[in-house]
Amino acid sequence: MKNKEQPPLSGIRVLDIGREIAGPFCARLLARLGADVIKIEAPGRGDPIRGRGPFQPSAAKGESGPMHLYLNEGKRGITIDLASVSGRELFLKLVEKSHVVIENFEPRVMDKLNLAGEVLRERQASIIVTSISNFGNTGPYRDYQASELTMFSMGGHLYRSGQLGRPPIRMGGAPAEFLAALSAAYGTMLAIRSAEESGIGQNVDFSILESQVTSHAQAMVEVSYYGTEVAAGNPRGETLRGVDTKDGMAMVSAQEQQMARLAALIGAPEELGRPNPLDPGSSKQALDEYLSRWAADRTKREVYEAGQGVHVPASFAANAADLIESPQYQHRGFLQEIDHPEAGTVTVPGLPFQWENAWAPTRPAPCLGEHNIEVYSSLLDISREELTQLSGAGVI
Amino acid sequence: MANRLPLEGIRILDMGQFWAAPNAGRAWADAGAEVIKVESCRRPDPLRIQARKIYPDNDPGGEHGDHWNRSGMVNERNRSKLSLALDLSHPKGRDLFIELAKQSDAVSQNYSLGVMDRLGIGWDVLHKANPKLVMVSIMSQGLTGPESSYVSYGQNLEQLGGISYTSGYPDDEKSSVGFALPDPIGGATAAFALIAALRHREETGEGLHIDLSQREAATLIIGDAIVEYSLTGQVPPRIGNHEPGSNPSECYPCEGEDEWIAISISNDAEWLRLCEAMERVNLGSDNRFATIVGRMRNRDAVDELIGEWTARFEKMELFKLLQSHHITAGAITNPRELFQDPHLRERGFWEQVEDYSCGTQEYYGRPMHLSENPYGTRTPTPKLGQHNYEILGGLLSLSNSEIDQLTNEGVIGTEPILTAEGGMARRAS
Repeated sequence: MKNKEQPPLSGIRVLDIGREIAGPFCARLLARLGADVIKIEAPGRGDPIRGRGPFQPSAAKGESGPMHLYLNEGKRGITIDLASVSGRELFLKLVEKSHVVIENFEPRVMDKLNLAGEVLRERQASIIVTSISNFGNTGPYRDYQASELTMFSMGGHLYRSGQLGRPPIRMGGAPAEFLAALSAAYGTMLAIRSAEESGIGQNVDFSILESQVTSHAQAMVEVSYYGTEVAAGNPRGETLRGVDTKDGMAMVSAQEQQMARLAALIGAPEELGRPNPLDPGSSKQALDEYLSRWAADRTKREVYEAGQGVHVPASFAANAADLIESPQYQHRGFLQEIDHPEAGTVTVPGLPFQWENAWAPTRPAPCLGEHNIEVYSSLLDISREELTQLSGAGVI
Repeated sequence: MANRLPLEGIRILDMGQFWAAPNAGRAWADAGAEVIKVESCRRPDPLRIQARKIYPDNDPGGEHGDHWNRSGMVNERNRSKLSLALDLSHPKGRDLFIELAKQSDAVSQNYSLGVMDRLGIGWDVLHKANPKLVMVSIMSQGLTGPESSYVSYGQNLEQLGGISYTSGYPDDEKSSVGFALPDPIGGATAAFALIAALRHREETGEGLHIDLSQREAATLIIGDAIVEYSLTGQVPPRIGNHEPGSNPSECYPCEGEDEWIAISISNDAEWLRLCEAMERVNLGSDNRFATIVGRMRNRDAVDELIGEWTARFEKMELFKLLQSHHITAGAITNPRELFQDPHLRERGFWEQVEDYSCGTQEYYGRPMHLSENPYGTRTPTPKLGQHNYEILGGLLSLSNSEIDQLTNEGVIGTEPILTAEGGMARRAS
């Protein structure tokens, strides 16, 4: 029986031929849980995400971009030209030794490479192919191009964002791709479970657009329940109910039953804490004016702590520095340091869950082709001579 | 073996309320787990009885007057589950819950910190009753740490996790809109974490307690900002609709009132294709705009040129036109348009469900297909307490008269008992 100190996915091998964000992040989640993830990149060029800076001046080209260091931490890295005959064969030999392939090419690419799931399963019946695409692998938009901005636009959140007269404004970070990666990791886990029971692999086809549509709190229920004619949706210009503090934005989301405590905290007249049931908006507005004055003399963190001190949902707009210094994150060990040979010491987020203890990072993001010799000789028994030949031919 | 659902044979007690946790429960239920939604008549899922109720045709009525079974927010995210309405504050309710936990693989919960312990069904009690049990606690900020008892809604977690700071117009910090995405993100994380934990349990023979922080899950979305700050000492600036490595990258006006299209050009060849699509090939040879650096420097001029052109088109027509030129574009759609979108319709994304108290409704389906497993909605969201007899009789072998007795004592039931304050709701998720 397995030792409980061992990570939950030890023994699972994943071939990550993903690029940019969604595929690599899905694979990274599995790496963090102990899977042996081999990141496969095109020789010479590598994953385009390596081109996203800012870069460390002293580091080799393509090795120090923050997004790359974040997404590919915990993996070994090799190169293969999948479009070449011998490169494709090398990949198929690796498939024979693996459980999962993760890819996020445009839907037609895997077919074009003659590497569709059905083809891979002729070599390894239990192989799982997780494909994350923008619009899914069927339907009229199948081959359309997309980016984080355009996916977030199509997903139905932007129509109510920003101010009237200005363009709608997207959410920061890459929510469409990260949410897709998390859900695709769940689908991949289901398929692993199924394959471990039955010996049969399968394709997990994931659509980022559909994942966006499932991320609405209520809008998609409204269209069915009210009818498309009636469901009007929220107007634009509805911003967060934020308050300015001495050093940034905070927010106090008091609900009716919390308004009395909030009024007492910010020195507002007692009656403002008892909203008039006939006109709850008016007392809320008056309370907001007291809140603005009160918050203006305080730091964002003071507003957060004071609100939470009286059990009112309060928060502040944390930036990267605030998060690294967060006592809560430090206590839980969520952000972890790891040394990278080119970039130096890097702080990366771990997994947002733990049991007994958090998993430590195992290795930094690989340099391009860093583990070619290690992987090809130990997994495929390829000699150094052959490797030199393959390298000369541009296959690896 | 194929077509057997991946989680068949797994029983999960889902105490989730609001959004994040019930979403995870539905993901497990759709994948074949027997998921029992445990609520009590005194404290049903708050979305049944308060906060943003959505009823069919905006009418709480219904044939049998059971408005608590007609809430769209509940019916959307509790499909494929069974329902047990059990009063956990009653000693008999607590004991029955512990007996059920002995026969279950997992418990999922998102109460405020300490509530499970106060109810007498905390991790220590459940672990002792069933050493193989896996529990997932979907918390605002986790089970440990100085801020673990803090209360929050999705929008608060968006701020605390670092998403809000990076959102909005570069010149206006207050412009970030709350999408409450930490809830679906937290739910997806929980769904994934539990399956990993079940595998671990099966290999080690020991149960475990997953301590999940939705705030941390939100931070994953901006994880590169953390890495960047650790390398440069600089907080990355707010970049609005700009995408790293792309220019132009913005939303542009279309025909009609407040209609928009997003366009993101990631290399110079794509820029030339855009010039072609705009029938302005001469622009392609304009040195000011030929490179991404040039377009960045002349951003206002570029945006104006494109905006004047896009304003002549209907957004979906323009979306297809640009895509036919291999240009990255997406229309800003609203929920109504998505509901009718031909692509999603052709893929069969919407699932028609014959609801128990809401007639036929269409809900979004699953964002993924498993080629060997028919994964998706199996049954409609159950009515409150719909499976009381089936569960207590079937799993705990109680006789009908014993279950009748529990009903009479108010330990189980099928109708909410509302307190003067209108229920509970400690935190939203």
